[in-house]
Amino acid sequence: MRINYLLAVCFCWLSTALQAADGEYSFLKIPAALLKGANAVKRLEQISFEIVNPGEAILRKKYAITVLNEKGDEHAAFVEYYDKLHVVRNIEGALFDAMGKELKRLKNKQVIDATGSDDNNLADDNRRKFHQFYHKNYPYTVEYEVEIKYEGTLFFPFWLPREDEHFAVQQSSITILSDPDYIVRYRAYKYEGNPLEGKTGRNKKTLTWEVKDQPAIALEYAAPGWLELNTSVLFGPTEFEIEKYRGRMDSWQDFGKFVQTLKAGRDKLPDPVKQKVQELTAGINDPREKIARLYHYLQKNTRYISIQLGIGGWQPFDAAYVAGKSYGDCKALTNYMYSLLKEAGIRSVYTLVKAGRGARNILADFPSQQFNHVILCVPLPGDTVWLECTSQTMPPGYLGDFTCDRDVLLVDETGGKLVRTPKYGLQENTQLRKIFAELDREDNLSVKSFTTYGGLQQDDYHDLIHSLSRDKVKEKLHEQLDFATYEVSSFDYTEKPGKLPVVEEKLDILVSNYATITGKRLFIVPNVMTRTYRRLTPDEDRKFDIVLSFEYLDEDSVEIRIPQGYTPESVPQDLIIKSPFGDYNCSVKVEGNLIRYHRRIAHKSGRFPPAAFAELVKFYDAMYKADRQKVVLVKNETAAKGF
Amino acid sequence: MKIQLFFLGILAGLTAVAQKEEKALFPDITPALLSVKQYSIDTGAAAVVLAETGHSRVTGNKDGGLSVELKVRRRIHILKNSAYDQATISLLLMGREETAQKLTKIQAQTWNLENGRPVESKLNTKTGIFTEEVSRILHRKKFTLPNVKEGSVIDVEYTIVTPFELDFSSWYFQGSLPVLWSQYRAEVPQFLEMILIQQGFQPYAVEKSVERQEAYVIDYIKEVYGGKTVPESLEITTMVADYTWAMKDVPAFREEVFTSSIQNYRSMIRFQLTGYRPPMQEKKMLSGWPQFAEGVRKQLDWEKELASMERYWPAELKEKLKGAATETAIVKVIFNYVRDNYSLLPEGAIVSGPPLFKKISQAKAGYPGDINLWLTGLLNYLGLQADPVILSTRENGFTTEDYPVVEQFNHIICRVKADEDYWLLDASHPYIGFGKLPANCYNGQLRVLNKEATLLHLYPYQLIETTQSSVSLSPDPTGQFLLKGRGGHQYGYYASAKIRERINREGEAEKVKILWPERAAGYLTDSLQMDKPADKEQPLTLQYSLAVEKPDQDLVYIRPEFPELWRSNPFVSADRKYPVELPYRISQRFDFRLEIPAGYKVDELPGNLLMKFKEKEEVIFSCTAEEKDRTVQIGYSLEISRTVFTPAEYKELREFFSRLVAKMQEQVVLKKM
Repeated sequence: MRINYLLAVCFCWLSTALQAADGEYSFLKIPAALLKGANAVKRLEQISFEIVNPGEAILRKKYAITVLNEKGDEHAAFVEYYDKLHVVRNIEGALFDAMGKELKRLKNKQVIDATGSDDNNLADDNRRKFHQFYHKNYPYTVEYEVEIKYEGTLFFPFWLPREDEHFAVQQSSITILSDPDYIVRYRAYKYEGNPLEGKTGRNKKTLTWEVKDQPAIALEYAAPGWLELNTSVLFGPTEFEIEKYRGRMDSWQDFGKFVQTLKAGRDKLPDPVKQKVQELTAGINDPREKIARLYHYLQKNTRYISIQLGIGGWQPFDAAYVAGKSYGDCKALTNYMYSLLKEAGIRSVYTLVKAGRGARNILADFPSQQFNHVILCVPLPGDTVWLECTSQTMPPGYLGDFTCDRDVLLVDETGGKLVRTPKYGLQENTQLRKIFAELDREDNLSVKSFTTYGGLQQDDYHDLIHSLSRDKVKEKLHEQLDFATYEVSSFDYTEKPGKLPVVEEKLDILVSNYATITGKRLFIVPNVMTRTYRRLTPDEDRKFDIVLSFEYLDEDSVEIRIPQGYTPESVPQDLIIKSPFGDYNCSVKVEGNLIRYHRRIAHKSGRFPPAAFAELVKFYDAMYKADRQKVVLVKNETAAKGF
Repeated sequence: MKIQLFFLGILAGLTAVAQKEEKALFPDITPALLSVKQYSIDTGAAAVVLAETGHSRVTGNKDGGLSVELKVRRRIHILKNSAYDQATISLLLMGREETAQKLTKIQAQTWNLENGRPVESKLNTKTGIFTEEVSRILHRKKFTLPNVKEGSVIDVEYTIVTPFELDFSSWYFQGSLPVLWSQYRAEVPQFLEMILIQQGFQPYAVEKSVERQEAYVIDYIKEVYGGKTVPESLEITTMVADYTWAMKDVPAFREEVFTSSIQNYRSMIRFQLTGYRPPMQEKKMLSGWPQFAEGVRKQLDWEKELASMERYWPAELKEKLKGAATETAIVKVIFNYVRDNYSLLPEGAIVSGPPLFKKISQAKAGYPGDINLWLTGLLNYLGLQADPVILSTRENGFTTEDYPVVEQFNHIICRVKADEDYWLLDASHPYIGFGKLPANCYNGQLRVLNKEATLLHLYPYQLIETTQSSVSLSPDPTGQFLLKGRGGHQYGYYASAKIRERINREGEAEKVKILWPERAAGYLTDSLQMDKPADKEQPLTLQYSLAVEKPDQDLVYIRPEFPELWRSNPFVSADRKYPVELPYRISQRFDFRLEIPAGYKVDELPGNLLMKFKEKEEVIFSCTAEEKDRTVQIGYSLEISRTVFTPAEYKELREFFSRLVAKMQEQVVLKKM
């Protein structure tokens, strides 16, 4: 009896607990595997994208995210960008506690409507809707629902269920609704199987993709790009419309044709500019020289001002506009340069690119709008000259790591075509340095350094020279050199522009207390200026491939004159490291009162298996240590007095 | 530091200096001017402001009231393309639509030298001015000038009309570009009572005032019988004090590290409206600190808020307060609860408007001031004597004590009396514990918003950031290493708060990098163990083990290593314009102990050193090294008990640290016997 009573009590308790935990979003319903390493879990996500006609579509999205700790808070905020072509029609939201009990609902007036533009644009349509519950009792769940009307279908949504590291996905799906005869183009990455096909009551065809139970992952050092590690589906229209322009996107060629229609006929130059072009190119035969002159003219007479309003986000202002105002955005300036070259009888091609330092790859096998910048390609027999038309300082032909080494879309009358921009490698990205230094008896080192930076290694110095006043350059130099206390007494930069530009640097530096002179010893680091700082934390559980993309070559020759009367006591041994990641060597010799040091690192790029990580850690550690090794010298015993 | 404060009436006796007409300040656009490639004021400058003028005055408006008009004109010579952004003007304006600040009378043009003569290009003000709705209460006007090239001179003129308050705009004589002439004129009618605050190191070239009579015409629509309206107008004739200040050849303003707020040193003037005189309805906006405190309380609707706590008191607190026996214990519970359960709203304001407690209790979030007002409210509700305290954080600049200037304050904290002790609390910093305040609150004056507006002071010299570190090495009994040992390190309190914040943000995996970024490659360190990482009232301590590898020669060089040891000189710049201001006093002690392994003897030790900055006890560094009973003991100690150093002392201070860093490089040399 007694036992039964107890059991009854127990069950009673159990059932109330279950009831309380019965909320759909109770965190108890998250599988344990999804909690591991996660700051937030996407509980569900249902996206539907209905193509009403080529000029209109509706996106409906409902999702719920359980935030497990403070670091997950960033996923609790609702942010939706919109503009004149994307109208946010409705937003709903609710907050739930750990057990899934609803705590509060969003009221529409709590949604902040603010500008979505950044300071780079003079004018645009970008707006932003924002809301956050600011809850702090973890775990908690937010649920949002939003409906957005697309005016025009140039853009389709992009499905990437796992949006971030330390973020798990319990369920996420996307459904595309269209007329039965509309061909929905898509490309799925890391998705097993085919989409589920179906039909709605309103005679719409549906295609659905769904994932479940994706655990959280952490991004490792030099991991492959996020898209490579995650399920995603890219969608694209076949026929689309934007404002009054129509186009097709079945192929890169078709998409190129559409871009061409936007820019067609916008190349008419005013007569005075035409005359100027003729004047500048008269009597010159070499097309390279013509290009250089006209590019120089563009750089001297225009500047970058971004105005992105409506279709203006996709269509360049015409050449006459740029001529009249002396400014334009990347599209307008590129189109202007195209027009200048055309006037000079040189054919050039308007080129779309996904620009950005880390943004190397577009998904080349799926034609769609993946670009954010425009450059100009000038094909010449046996060579191609690339022009970045928004820069007042770059030499013609050089691209820099904002646009180099990636697939870009050439656009002309025949449509679009993908080509690759130049890659800058080991031979190009160089830093060659010679140092002559002298140590005085107060252990101060006066350094004369001569350095030549090439390729991508010159980019920062190019910017330094062109964007900062001399005072500011000096300030920078006083911050960034790795000496305890020092003064740059003189500096000079010379630029040698060209297809592979080079910056030459001369520095005179006085370093206080560079060496350590104790009673009888002198400690000095012979590697004066080029030290590696990278140290990786060993990771026995490395999961992803290692992707190293930056190749470079650094070479240093150093000569340090030290005070007379010292004999070497300890000299670091020569070190030669040959590894798949690169070759490093350094050596130091003491000859009388002269220390000679040589260092060379040729750092390779490439893709390596996860197991190679331990070796990479060792590679950097060995360099780190070697770069800081000291030469120790002892004072010679002075001859006994008297004889 | 120079902040000067005047009541404008007193100033009106300054001697008049010959003053150029405003127009004449702007140099003529001539081929010669357009051919100038650099200016002697700063030969490397990318652009130079040839002249700029601002002119504030009161005008009658058409809506039956008064407005303030600020007319600005600026002429800039663009010398290099890196200054092209000077040709894009972006103005943030208050309000939207009818009641908003208005931007009017825009004129802008660019001059270029073409074929030897100046050619002018005008901004099209019909199509070229863009409006961006920033938020519900702000909008931005943007425009850019046409035909801007290297060598262009641009000229921009505009007027901002403010219909809703009669405050005059501040004026900065010093900015990011060198300025050849900067002038501000303010016409203050007698019916406005204002004070003026001036700061900076630059001298005035003109400082004058004239008095004269002026008539203000206010138009309004009068409603007569039957709903009819007729236009009416009202004329006020009054005395006006017309002030002009100007500076000549002002260098560009540069940032420097180790200042509380660099803005304290920028040359500027600021006004504050303190009251109205006849013929306006007489009113004192502010006449002293008690009135100021009362004013702020009124703005917050503080009494009403406190009364409303009945409704918003969080039920969950009841449970948490169980077992809190003393007033101090109660305060601690409430403080921790507020700090850990209420989120900070990003950017924006100091406080939200009323009804504050309603908003906070619903959103569980607020601006920094909101959070502390909520804390104050909760404490009050429990019958404790708690008041808001207003202050200016270090980044925001100094405040004047002679007179309350509302705009100088940017933060609110809480003062509470518990068990006969007063506590200052700031719950808006997630990593600051009970009984501590963020270092940026130590900035001079604080005012309690009570009846008396009690004056408090907090200064950086009242804070001591204490670091204690020790390492002990002894021969490795296993023979694997030459030496093995343990290290213990206690971070300073503010360093601890920063580390906790960073580890939380960047993740546990980055722990080692955050705790000890400069650990030497030669030292094997593992098992870094943090003690009490979550106890925000205590500094963070670290335990670690380390080892020294066996040498491949007869000599062993050992450099003492500790976290937070000085490895580079914090004073990077070779010279200094403004005083060095440290956020706190510094007290550091590093102890290194080494038992000499059998078969070795000491060949060399770092030399003893005692350094006193300027031969005084305020800044002392010492290094002691000795060998005794086959044990080497090395100790570094740094005591900085002063927090402000003048620019004249800078070179010596830098040299002091240079020698200190060099000393910390010195090594122990052991030799095989």
